[in-house]
Amino acid sequence: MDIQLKRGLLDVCVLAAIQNEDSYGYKIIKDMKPYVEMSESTLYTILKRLETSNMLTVRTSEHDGRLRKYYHITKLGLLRLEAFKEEWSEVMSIYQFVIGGGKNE
Amino acid sequence: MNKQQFLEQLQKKLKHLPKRETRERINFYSEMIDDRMEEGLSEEEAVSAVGDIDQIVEQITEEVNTANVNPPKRKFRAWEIVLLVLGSPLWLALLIVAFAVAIVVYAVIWTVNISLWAVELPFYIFSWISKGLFIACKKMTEASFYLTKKGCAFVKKFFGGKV
Repeated sequence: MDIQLKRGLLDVCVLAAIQNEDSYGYKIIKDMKPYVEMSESTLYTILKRLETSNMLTVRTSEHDGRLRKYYHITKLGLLRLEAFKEEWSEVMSIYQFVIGGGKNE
Repeated sequence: MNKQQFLEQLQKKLKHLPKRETRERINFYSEMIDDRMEEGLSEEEAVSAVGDIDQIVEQITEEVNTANVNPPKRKFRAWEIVLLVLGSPLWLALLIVAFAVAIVVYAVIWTVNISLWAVELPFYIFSWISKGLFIACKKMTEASFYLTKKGCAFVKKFFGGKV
């Protein structure tokens, strides 16, 4: 897959994984696993990128005697998700056209 | 390999990255291993589930390089400039205040110097005045002695020893 496209998609996947409740690294990977496999270092880079672009915030809290980082989606992150859904309905109709052999039935 | 060994090796191989970034990544992997162990994997299993170190290092290096090629930093710089301009009423005011404070401190030091000198000054003046008074008294005494002497001589001469 095109690297830019994939990067954009994975960003949205991570945002989706934290949209309903704050989550942490391993849980994000686990939740995404049935849909897309992601390595730790890829996730790290995406989380960093989303943090610097203010799509999510990070808080460290104690869990079971150790520290764990939790990721929280921001308003901007939610807007990004909404924008993605709109963009992709357009992409899907293009996909239908391509699949249909470029014909208007 | 146990967690400790894994993290140490990873740290060694990420030496070329900035220290802070290496520390953050190490913490990230440490958390990942702990979370897998919490789910029931043994330490060894959790470490190997995270993946092969060389592959990880390769991937990280690649990601860091592509991140450096795409400059999201330029956006940040533009932001900085905007912030600098928007914030100018604030930081200019602060700069002026800092400047004023420096001047005040300088002035205070000088005022203290001058006042110390001013405290000494009356003593000088007092000593000058008292010295002058002393000399004046002395001269006046001398003069009165002289006048008395002259007066006596005059009286003697005038009355011709009749007194």
